[in-house]
Amino acid sequence: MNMNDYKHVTQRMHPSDACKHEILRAAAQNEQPRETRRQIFWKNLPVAAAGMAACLSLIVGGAFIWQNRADFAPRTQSQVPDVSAVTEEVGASLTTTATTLAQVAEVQTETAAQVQTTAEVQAVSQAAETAPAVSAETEIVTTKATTEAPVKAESRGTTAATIMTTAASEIKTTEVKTETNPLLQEVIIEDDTIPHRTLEEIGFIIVNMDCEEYHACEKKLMLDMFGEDGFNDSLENYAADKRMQFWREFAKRYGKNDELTESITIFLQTAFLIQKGDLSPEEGVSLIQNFNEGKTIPEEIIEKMNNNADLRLRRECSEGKDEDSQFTDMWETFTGIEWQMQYLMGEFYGYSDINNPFPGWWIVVYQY
Amino acid sequence: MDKAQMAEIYDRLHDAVYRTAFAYLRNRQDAEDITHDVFLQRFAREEPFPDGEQEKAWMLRVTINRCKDLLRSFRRKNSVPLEEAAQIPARTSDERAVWDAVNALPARYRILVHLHYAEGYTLREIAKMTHQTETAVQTQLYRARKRLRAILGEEFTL
Repeated sequence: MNMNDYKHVTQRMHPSDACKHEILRAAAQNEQPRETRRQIFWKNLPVAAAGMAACLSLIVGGAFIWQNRADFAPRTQSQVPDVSAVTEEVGASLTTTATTLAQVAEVQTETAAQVQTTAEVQAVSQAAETAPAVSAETEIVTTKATTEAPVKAESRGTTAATIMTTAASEIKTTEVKTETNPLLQEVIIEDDTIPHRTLEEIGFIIVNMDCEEYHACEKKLMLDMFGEDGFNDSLENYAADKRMQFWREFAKRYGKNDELTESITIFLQTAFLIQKGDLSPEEGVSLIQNFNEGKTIPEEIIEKMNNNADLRLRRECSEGKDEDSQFTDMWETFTGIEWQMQYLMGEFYGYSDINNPFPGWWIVVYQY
Repeated sequence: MDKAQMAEIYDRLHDAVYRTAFAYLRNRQDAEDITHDVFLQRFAREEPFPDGEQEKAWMLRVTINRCKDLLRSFRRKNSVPLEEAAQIPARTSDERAVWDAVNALPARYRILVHLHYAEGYTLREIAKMTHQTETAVQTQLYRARKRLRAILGEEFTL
């Protein structure tokens, strides 16, 4: 029994003849590749939304008419109200409005006159700045004019500073997306004691080693902890409490806790929340962007990150399923997380190596 | 590209594309849908390939990406429908056992096993095709083999 058995079965598998005809027919008619269900969904969303909005309007409108049906029914002569009183009221109101309008017109005229006066004063002050001889009267005006000027300049300066800040923040945003992440630069680790608490809680440990080193460490630790006699090549064959014990020790010995692991953790946890549906992808991106900019992550999000992720895994891996199903469930969950991770990495760094998003670092996912 | 050229490309590559899609999706209908789309994408491409191998690698990469999109789009269940299982052309109990074991692996392992053992690609080629590092591919294959051994027991060799 070996992999050739798989190969042999595979070699006997062919698409149906109809498939070839269909493809060549579609190609001859210059058809485009079929859209994915997701593309179809998004494409049809506006139409569906408009349709739903129209239906909703009809329902609401219908309900309104039904509720107020008495008002919409044809009226008898006796039901028609006497409008003469209303007409009188409207007439009085119109008279008041006309009076008010006349008053407003007067105020406007006065204001116009004042504006003209101000313009004249400004003209005098400008003339005073350039005039060779300065009288006592105009000197006062000139002083006023010169003290006003720096204020304006300062105000312009402030505006310019604001614009520069805005421009800088725009540049910063672009940099985040296009340049190499500063966190990816090598980090000197001085503190490699017990890793961050949440790393254990959500079921992964971040270590700084390659594949071979990892497997060697895994084996060495199993031997150290369980001894030669109790040693089993596959950790999956150990009881759950021993596995948990193993991973706690593994995290203690090899796990890292520093700025970079914190960043990786945020990515993973955000990916997890997106996968669970607690955050939309856009919200996830925004969360990481805020984190990168040093902004505080909302308490409720931190709570979700710290609690829910672990609980979901445990729940999925426990409810009356056999070990195979538990394993598959867990990997399906993590595959989903990886996809979300790939999306996030692509958004921020323009690349998406899901298995090795932070070069030189290894994310160990463990199960209970 | 005329019809004869299209037919030649199809005859040369349809099995590899279809089998790769099947390895990922484990469903005939979906695999044929993906095959259909991948070939249309190939025929729409005007830029020629330096050789047949690169063309094949490109098509398998497109296949994998489309399979991922499909899986992601409606979160297919990780199970083989009964009618599919019955149609798998295994002739011996060993073939059946190995086939079932490979198909019980998570999708990310399954596709690597398929590309390596059925299509004969090296780790480096697979890494390039699946946008991963060689080390990552190596580790996943290691884990996949470990898992297969756990399912099939000592009788299973590579």
